[in-house]
Amino acid sequence: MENRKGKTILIVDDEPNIVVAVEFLMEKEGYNIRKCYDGQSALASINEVVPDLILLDVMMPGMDGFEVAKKIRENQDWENLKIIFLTAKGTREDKMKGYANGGEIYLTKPFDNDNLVIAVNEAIEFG
Amino acid sequence: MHPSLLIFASIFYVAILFLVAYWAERRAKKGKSLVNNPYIYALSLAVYCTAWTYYGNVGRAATSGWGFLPIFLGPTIIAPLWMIVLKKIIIISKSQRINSIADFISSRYGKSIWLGVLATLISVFGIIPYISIQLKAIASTFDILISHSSHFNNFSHGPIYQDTALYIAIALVVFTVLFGTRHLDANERHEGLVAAIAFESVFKLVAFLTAGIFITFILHNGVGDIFEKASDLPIMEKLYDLEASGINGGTWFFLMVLSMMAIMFLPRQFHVSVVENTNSDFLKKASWLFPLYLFLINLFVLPIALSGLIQYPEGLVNPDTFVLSIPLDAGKDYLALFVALGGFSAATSMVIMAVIALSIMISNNLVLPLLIRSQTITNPYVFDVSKRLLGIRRVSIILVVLLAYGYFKSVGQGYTLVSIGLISFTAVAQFAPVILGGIFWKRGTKAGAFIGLSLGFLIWAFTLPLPTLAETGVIDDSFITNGIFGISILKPYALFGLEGFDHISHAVLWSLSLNFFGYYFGSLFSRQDPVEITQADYFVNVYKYRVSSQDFEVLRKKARISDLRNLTNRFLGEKRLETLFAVFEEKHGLKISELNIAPPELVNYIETNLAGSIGAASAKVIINSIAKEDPISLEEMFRVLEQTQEVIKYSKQLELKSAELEATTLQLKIANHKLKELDQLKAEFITTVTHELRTPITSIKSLGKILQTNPDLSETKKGEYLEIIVTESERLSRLVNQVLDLEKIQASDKDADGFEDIPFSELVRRSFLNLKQLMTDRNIRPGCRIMDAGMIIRGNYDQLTQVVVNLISNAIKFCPPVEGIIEVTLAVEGDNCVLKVSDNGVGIPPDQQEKIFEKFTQVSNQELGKPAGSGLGLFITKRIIENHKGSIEVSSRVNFGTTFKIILPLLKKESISFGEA
Amino acid sequence: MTNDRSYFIFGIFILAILIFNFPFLGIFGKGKALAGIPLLYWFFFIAWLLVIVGIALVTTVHRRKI
Repeated sequence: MENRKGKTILIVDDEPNIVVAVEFLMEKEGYNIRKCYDGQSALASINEVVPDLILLDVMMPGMDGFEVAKKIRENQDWENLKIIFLTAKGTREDKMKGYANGGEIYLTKPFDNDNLVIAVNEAIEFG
Repeated sequence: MHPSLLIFASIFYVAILFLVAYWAERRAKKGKSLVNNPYIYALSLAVYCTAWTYYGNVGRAATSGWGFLPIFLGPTIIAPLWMIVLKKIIIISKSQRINSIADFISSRYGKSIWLGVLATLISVFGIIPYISIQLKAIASTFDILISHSSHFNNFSHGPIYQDTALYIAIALVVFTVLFGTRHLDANERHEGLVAAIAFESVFKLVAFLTAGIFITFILHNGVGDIFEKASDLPIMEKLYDLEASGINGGTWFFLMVLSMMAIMFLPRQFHVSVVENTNSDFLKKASWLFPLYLFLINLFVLPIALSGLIQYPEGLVNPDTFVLSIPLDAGKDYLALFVALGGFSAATSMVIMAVIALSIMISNNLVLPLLIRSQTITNPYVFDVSKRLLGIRRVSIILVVLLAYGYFKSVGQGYTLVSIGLISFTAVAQFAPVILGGIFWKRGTKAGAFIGLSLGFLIWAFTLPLPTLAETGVIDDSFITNGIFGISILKPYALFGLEGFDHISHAVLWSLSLNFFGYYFGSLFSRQDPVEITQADYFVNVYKYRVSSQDFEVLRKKARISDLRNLTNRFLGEKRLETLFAVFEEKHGLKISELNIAPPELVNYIETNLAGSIGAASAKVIINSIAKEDPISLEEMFRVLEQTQEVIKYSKQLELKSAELEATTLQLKIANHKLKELDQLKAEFITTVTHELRTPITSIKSLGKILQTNPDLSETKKGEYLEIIVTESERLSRLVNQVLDLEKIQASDKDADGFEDIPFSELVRRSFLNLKQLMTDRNIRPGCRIMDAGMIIRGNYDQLTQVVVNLISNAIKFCPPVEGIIEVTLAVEGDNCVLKVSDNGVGIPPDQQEKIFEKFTQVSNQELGKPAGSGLGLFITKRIIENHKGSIEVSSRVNFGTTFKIILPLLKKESISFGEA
Repeated sequence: MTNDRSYFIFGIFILAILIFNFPFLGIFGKGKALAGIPLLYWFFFIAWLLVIVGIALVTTVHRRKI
């Protein structure tokens, strides 16, 4: 539990209502939360404060999640940043694309709250 | 020499011939054919060498030097072409059961009866003089031997020869009848006769070479010695210089051409080389063996002639008899007898073969067709033709020999062997255009052949045999110098004023050229009937038929089996009938006895076999008397036959087809592309719909779970989450409704039920106000200008509301997050009301502006980001507008914004005003 | 029949026509003699024999050997 303290999670989703739910779950686990509603601002946010983990939606206006992940992986400074895709796009191709673009975990919506929490915690603790 | 010795020797020689012939027939029956090899075949061709060669050559050489030679060089020159010309004729004749040259011509030109008759007449009149000189040669040589006093003998007058010739004629008839008409053979082949002829060819060559060697090397010291002894003779000049002997290039050439034609088209040559041929490959060896034979038989001609000229004072001995006289006067009686028998064999072989060939023609192409025309052949009481046929043959043999004897008695004695022989050559050369044209030129017609042959025959008769009759006093000879009927251009030796040629060249030039042009232009100006077309194609393209199938038939004849059986029985006999039917049954696998109507294959098969016995024209007439021909149009005919034309047509069709196919393929590709697109659209739609469904479900599910597992949440939080759940649930049901709407609209296309008068201005205002809060929340500056408050249109209130809300919602979705602007304008334009909804969002690329109204389509690319909505909104909108007889357009510039414009027909305007806008 | 053979057949046919006709024949008809025998005699029979050999070669040899 200790090493979760002070860890920051960036939530990126264009659906504010989903952000509300995820934010609640993550705050309850004791993480610091940052929120963005599109890809462009997500990158700007990372530039400002590098989070430990990013929960990334795929279908967003402007830059989509895959591209955001790719940009993150292009930057050496952000190599410790874990990426979890959290998206309604659930086909095999989408998953492969997610992993190919540097995502660690690929979760599909609608997600199970406990599963999401476990996935995030494991990613933070064991990398 | 005592006559009894000569008679005994002759009978002994004929007995040997009989033995050879009999032995050959026995072997043939056992299947060990004696004549089935190229050597016997080549020897049988040497029937070309007659008494003319044997005696006449020396005579010709003694009077005109080299003039004897072209007649033998010609066949040598043409021999290599046999592989092309003669081979084709043989193959055609074998498959069509052709058994004479008249039959060949008749068959080629539509199985014409009259062409067969004409060709037969030409052959008979052309060959009779030729046969007569053989009788003359035999008779005169026998006389020389018997009288033993050749020096003082002028054998053209005197009663005893007449008897000799008559007896010889009778003997020849007997031999020919015995071996030529023993039975009616389907292929008209006589193995015994061919063996006898080959034997005679060997015998005459050996005899002549013996005489030559005796005279050259025993009486003299070789060829050089003879030439030296003869150096003072006037003939020598001619031997050194061709032109000095009066031979010019033209005469020389014409003689060569004549002999080239004769070697193929003399009836007896046609018979041995084509009808009696058992394998066309024999031509390979024969084409050099036969010229070699000619070479050998000519080797000693000049030495013998010179020897005779040295030995006898001029005019004392007829040079035609030198071969015999020289050994006789040298006291070599037995050698002379041997030589005389050689000459006898040369003459008899020619007579036998020529008479058989002519008798086949006379019976099959002259007597039978005329007989058949005059009688009803299907009447069973007429006569038994198969027996009669042999009778006809025998009678015609007797007739031909008698005619020849008559010619010999009246005319032949006054001319040399060679000059009479050349008259016959010129006659048969008339066949060349129609035969060569017939096998290489499909366009040659019956009419053309008839014109050509008739012209050639008439000119031949007028320029050659007619004057010989006059010169020997048979008819008045004044026309020779004055022209016939006193017309000066119609002189037989100077026709149309052409002078300066010898008689033969003159006749050849006129008869062959008019024959050729008559045939050529006659063919060009006439048309072929279906039978002609069939036959012409078969003859010209025989190899094509050989490759594809043996039974060629284009004309489809049908006949009753009983008729066919009756008829075959009558012409071929019971035995042949059964064999033929059995072979046919075997080949086609059917039982003829079970049939009532004979199929065309059987009718054709029988006709071909009948043709083998009675000639093509007769067979056609007979078959036609019992068969019905399926009418076949000329067009059909051409379609079947014109292989090349067919191929061209076919390839054209193919081109057309492939073009069609390409077009179809293109259409298919387009259709397939559309289908694929549609498929992709559908897949995308489903993905989109699922995504749109998942999004609200995600928040509902997640927040619901949070509320459930966190009972200690603050009331504000609880309220907030519950509100989200409600909103998202509404969103979810909206989506579901939209999908359902789509189905409904699609089902009720153009359904005007439930339409009412709708205050459209009011509808737009309300919809705008409903969404105003949302726009403000999203930092959008909303604007609404309604120019006329009283617009009424006819329509469905809910559907129209959906349209307006859809458009405004779309605009909201595409507005930039900051400083968004949405303008709604409603105005009257003419009889329509026009609604415009504009935003300053990302815009729609031009290539997608058309597509956005299609079902399942979303504007989705990286620039535009997340597609807004289900992809159904605009499609539904468009459908609704169209149901209201309106239209919808979009104008957009990327990054500057989009304007949707709806035009709906205005029902009426009311003066209503409302407070705020 | 091969086309090759047809060409040779026509070749020998035309050659024979040429050498056995005027004006070619005129070359040998000038009163000359060889071993007491007129040149024409030699020419005719030697040329004749050669033509026969030629025909035999063309018709019996199956394939030209190069």
